Amino acid sequence: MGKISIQDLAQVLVERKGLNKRDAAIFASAMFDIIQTNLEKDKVVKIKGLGTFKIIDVDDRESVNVNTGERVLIEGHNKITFTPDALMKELVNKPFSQFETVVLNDGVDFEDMNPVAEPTVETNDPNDPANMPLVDFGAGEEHPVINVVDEEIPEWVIEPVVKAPERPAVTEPEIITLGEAPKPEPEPEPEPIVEPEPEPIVEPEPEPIVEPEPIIEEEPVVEQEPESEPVVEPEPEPIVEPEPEPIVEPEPIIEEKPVVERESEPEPESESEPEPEVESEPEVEEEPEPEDEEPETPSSNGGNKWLIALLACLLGLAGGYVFGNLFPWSQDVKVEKAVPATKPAPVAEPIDSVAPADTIKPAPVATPAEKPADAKPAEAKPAEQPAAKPAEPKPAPATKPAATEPAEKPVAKPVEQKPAPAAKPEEKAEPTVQLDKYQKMDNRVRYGAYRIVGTAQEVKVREGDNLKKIANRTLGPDMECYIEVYNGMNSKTELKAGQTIKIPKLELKKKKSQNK
Amino acid sequence: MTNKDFISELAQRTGYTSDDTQKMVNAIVEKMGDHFQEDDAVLIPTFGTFEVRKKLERIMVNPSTGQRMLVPPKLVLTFKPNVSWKDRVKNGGAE
Repeated sequence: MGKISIQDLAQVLVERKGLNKRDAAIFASAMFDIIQTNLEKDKVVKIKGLGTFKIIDVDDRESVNVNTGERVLIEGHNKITFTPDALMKELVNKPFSQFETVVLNDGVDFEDMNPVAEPTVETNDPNDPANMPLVDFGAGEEHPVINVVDEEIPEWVIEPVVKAPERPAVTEPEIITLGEAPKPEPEPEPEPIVEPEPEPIVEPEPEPIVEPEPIIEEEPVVEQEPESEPVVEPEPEPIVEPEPEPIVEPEPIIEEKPVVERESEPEPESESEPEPEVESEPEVEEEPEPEDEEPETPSSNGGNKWLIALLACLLGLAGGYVFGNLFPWSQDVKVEKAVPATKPAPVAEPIDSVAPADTIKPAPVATPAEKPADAKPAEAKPAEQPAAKPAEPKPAPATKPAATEPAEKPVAKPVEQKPAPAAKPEEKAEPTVQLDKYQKMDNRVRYGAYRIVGTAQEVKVREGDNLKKIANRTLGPDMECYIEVYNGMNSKTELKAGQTIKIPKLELKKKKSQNK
Repeated sequence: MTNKDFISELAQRTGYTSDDTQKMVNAIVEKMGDHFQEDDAVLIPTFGTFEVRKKLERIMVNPSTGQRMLVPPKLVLTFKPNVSWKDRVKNGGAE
């Protein structure tokens, strides 16, 4: 980096224009002298090919003396500025001309990059301008890419690890529920409350199966499946449903489950395998526990293939989920959300009724699949499920889900311990998702002042009640949207006297955000 | 003052035609450009210094959209006026 004097510039005139040295020097100095004098006179001088010189006014401004901290008034003054001509600008920047401003995506982290990039650039500059671009390129583009990868990978890794530990804890609760279950069974059976519920359940099933279930969680299920010998798919389904429920609310869930199983088993028998079904039926009616075991084992074998397929789907979904947080796309997100919602419903009272009412297979299947994945979340978001995506799932999906469901169910009941773990991991991973799910289901909830954080109470529907009246009694006027979403209903859902409605526990959104 | 004014005044003072003057000015400017490309600074006594400076890449945020942009590194021609001239202008000497 040399320094060029005016004599060097004058030299070019000598060479090209044939001037003698003295005239050339005079010309060059005259040139800048004129710029100087006219700049002072006119405040602006434009030189073609070089640039524009200007004298600008700087207004008074306050500043702070760095040493004393005193405020200082810097008086207005004039300042000389120079703006290079476009041609000159390009010429000077030629070495870096291939660089263009790049829009950065979210999540790109440059913390690591800056230190590295700057040093390299500086060292290169003095030597060869041409080399600089190459160096910069590496620093600018490669680093960001690396950073992105790092960020994403950690999340995945962490999730699996967390889920695994959770499983063991879950087993205990399940066992408890099992013991309780037998007692309630007799009572629930007689009372079929199923009719209203079946519809919602069927719809959600297909979607939920693929998306909702965490990949990690499913794996455990698969392992368990091999253990069971018989391959009775239809029967196992009912069993699965009860398991998830117990975790959330042991007593109610258990009772319902037995009922469902009994009802569903008889029907499936005719369709799939008469012999096994018959055997199971009698057992179920008298003793719920035996029934569960038998169906479970059979179903597990058949379900293996389905489980593997589900796992693959889940992995894909999980990957999509991470990105989904950044870029919510309507359909996928909805489906996922809908699934969790459906699951919770089964857990609650409505679920029980649904299973019986439905044609056995579809309803049970749907609920089981969803339940395993979102057993815990289910408590909080039963209501929303129906509303989200009821009709779409269709019957066809139901058959597939059923197969997968059976596999999961058997594992849960027979082993008791195993199912529980699976359910728990799922729950942990999904809590945040579920919260958002409610919000996505209904604009009123999304933009409302409250968020649903759990179940506050359960209310029995009275004669002539509707959701609005219930909301007025419990949450207050204009709050029915939270109940609708939480119970998977909508304003058109008809209520039956004696039906139980879950009242969500609400929390001010503002408060929560502040806490964070 | 436009380039045209500048050339005519320079021509008047040095005794060359406007045409020749413009060519000679172009030659000087071109020569300066050559030096700038070689990262050389040009010192003009009593006038100031032309220097090429490297601006590091930086991240810019569009305040209205929040969009982040990576602005690439670039070389910029800067002019730093001679101190005595600068002070003269600063104190209203230009007027």
